Amino acid sequence: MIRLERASLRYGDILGLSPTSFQLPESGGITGLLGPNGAGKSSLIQLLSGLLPPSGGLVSIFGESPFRNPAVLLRIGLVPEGDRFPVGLNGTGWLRMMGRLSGLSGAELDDALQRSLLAVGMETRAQLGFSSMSKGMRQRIRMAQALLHDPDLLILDEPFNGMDPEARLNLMDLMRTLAANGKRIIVSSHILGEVAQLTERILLLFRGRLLAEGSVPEIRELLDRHPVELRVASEDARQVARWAVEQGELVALRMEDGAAVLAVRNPRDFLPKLQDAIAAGQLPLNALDPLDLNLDAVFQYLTKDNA
Amino acid sequence: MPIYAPSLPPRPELSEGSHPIAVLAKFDLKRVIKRKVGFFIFGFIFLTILLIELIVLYGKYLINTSPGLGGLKEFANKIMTQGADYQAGLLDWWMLVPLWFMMAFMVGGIVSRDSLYRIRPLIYAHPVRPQDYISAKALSAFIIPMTVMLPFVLLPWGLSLAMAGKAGPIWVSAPLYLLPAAIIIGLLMAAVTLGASAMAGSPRASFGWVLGIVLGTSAIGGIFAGALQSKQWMAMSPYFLVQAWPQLIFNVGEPLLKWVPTLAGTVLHITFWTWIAVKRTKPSEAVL
Amino acid sequence: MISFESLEVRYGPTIALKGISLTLEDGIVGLLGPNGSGKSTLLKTLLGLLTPSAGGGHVLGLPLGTHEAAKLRGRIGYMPEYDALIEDTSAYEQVAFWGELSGLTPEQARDRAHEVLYFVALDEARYRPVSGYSTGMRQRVKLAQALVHSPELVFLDEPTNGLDPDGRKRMLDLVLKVHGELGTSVIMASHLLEDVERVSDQLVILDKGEVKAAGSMAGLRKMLAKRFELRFLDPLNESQEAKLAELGTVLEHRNGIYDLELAAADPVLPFRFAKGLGAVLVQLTPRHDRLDEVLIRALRGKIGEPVETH
Repeated sequence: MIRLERASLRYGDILGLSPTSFQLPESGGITGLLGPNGAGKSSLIQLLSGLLPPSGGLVSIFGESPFRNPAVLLRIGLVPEGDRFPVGLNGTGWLRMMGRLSGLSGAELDDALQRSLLAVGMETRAQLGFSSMSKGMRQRIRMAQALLHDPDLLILDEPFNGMDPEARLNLMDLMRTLAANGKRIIVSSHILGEVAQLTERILLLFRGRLLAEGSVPEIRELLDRHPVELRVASEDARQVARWAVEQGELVALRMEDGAAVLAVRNPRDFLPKLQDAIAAGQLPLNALDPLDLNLDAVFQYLTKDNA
Repeated sequence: MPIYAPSLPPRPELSEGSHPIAVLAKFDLKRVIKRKVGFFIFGFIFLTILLIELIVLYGKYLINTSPGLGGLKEFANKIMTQGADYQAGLLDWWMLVPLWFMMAFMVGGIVSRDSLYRIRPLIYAHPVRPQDYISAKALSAFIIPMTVMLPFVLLPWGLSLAMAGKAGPIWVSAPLYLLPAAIIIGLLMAAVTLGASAMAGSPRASFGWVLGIVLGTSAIGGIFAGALQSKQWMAMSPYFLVQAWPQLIFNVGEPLLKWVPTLAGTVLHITFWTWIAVKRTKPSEAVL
Repeated sequence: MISFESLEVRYGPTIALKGISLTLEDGIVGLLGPNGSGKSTLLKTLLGLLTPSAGGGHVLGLPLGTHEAAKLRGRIGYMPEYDALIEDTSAYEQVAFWGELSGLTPEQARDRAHEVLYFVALDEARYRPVSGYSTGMRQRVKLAQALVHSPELVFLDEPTNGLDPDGRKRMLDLVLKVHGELGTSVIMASHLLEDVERVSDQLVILDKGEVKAAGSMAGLRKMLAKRFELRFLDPLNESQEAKLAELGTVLEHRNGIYDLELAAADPVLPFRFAKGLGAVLVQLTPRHDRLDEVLIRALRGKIGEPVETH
């Protein structure tokens, strides 16, 4: 269980994170950590990974405070931001060094090395020097380092930065596999699309405050000031529009080329009616797309409403 | 009543602008002038030297013309050299040393600032050829020392003419000797600074490079001169080369260096440092 | 806009572009390719900085590999990936400088510098040195610099690098405006498939010096018959999920979205089915190839074959 209770972080007089409370389950899964630059993502990561103690409140991971607590830290794997690497070392050499630092040695270390390199798909290429690796390969080695001591919680800070698309897709697959195998992963990114591809569960920070925690559809449903826009593509968009107006639920209506965009306040009332009408063959329809039931819209609404 | 959409005007003709050399040089000179600290130091040294120069000039004029100072005149003529020595002295170490510092401080960044900000690839993505780039840089590096030296060449000369006419302490024909000397000095300083700037990664580093080259070659030249018992080895150093040129051109009695080593040293330095600068600023070095 | 015929470019012994043939129309071209795939060689060749060792081509009507290629540089704008900014100089001054360097007169350059800075929405800050700018502002100065001489083609290298969601949205909107309002064609290199998907109408995938795929976005991302993406208002329970098989084959289920292959390409079927299931459909999208599928297929050299994403 990951639990924050009014945990805050200040650097001298500078606010990193306002008092924040939330809980994440211990079971496997991915949580996206989102927010514009300077929102407090790094502060939260520093608290969660036990690099700094909270200025106030409580951080509890697996039931204990992570700061200077080896018992907890051994169950956390952190992949920090950036592409720094030790010059002149090769992947295996560095991993061995890091493994020894986490108290592994001998056969145990060899096993851990093999297991984590296998997990990141680098078992044959880890002998390469860091400088001759691609950015994607280095990121995998850093992932392998975080996996060495088989942690239950993995924290990744902007892992996709500067990676090319293929490397990104491979890393996402790796994260999905790890999550399916019971690891809890917290990943920060400012590319919303990447997070949306990975997970529905997000933590959204803005100006040092936690704005929302939960699954995207749930959060969207709480944002009921913003009507839901449904784009109905149809051969006869006018007929769709006319029908929608008759239902008396529309907040706004916009016609596009071959589609009607219906803004409704209560999708829970409106959508079943629409479904019935289509199923009964009363309305011609090619596609139904909700325009703002996605992470992008949730992010926009939350940050704009709180700006 | 129309509503005007904000939009860009039609595509302009691109052939009417100035040559890239002119554009680059103009921008660099503007940037050099805007560096306030450098400009202040430069202005202070410049004015001090000019003031001393004018006091000496006026003193000489008084001594030469005022009958009441007859005794003083004889004495003064003994301690103050006249003729070629004095004329060549208008471009002597007391102004060349500050000039080296000024080159290192203000012009040193001319190429290295582009390296620091990584804008050279972008320059080459414009209609600029490598020879344009290096010519523009060389032009700026040459113009700056020239603008400093020109007043020292022309002002004392003009004042001397105005005060004393042909009888003045400065020859009427002095600029004919001083200008070529100043141009050679300017070229040599520009080449050394350009080379140093191309080697360095930042303006600060180029300051070190310029002074390092000047002092380093002087030290090596000094060792050779001592070991081989010949002062002419000092021609390895641009510091002595720039001092030798006015003396040679005015044909003073005992110049610092002789013609052949001076000429050889100057040509070698200018070629070498220009070559370095060309090599280090090739577009292929620029990672796009 | 661009046509290459078996264009080959060498760096000493290494062949950076291996005889590529390519035709691109005016518009916005997304350029995808891993690092070291030949992107920057392609750019240098476009700018006439490298001479083809074999083959050739035309860019904006000018032949490559001749002295005329240098003329191209005045007609192409380039926004580098890294911070190529003159830090100690204001945005306005440096944009005007780049304009003059492209051949504008000083007066034109100054007018246009102001205009493009308005275009990229940089207001009073334009008179301050760029060293104090935020990442978003810096990226916009770089864009303004590439547009100041009103080029016919701009090359944008990772224009959204380091920007947060808001900054990215603004930058991508600008990229769309560059083509839409200024009529300038765009080649945008990016690692972010999302960005490429949002703005480009054509796509080039480059890998190891070869063109792995090229063409219009619509042509590369084919509609997949009978494939639909379904999403329900509330997550399905297990028994409902099990029944989905009656509607069609579930190829993928990720984050509440089911990727189904139906028995027939009839969008009404899922609505009828959902009604019978006691669920409410909130999304029904006919499925086309996703860009990541196009990319993976292209990089593995199997263009035209469907890709199974687990």
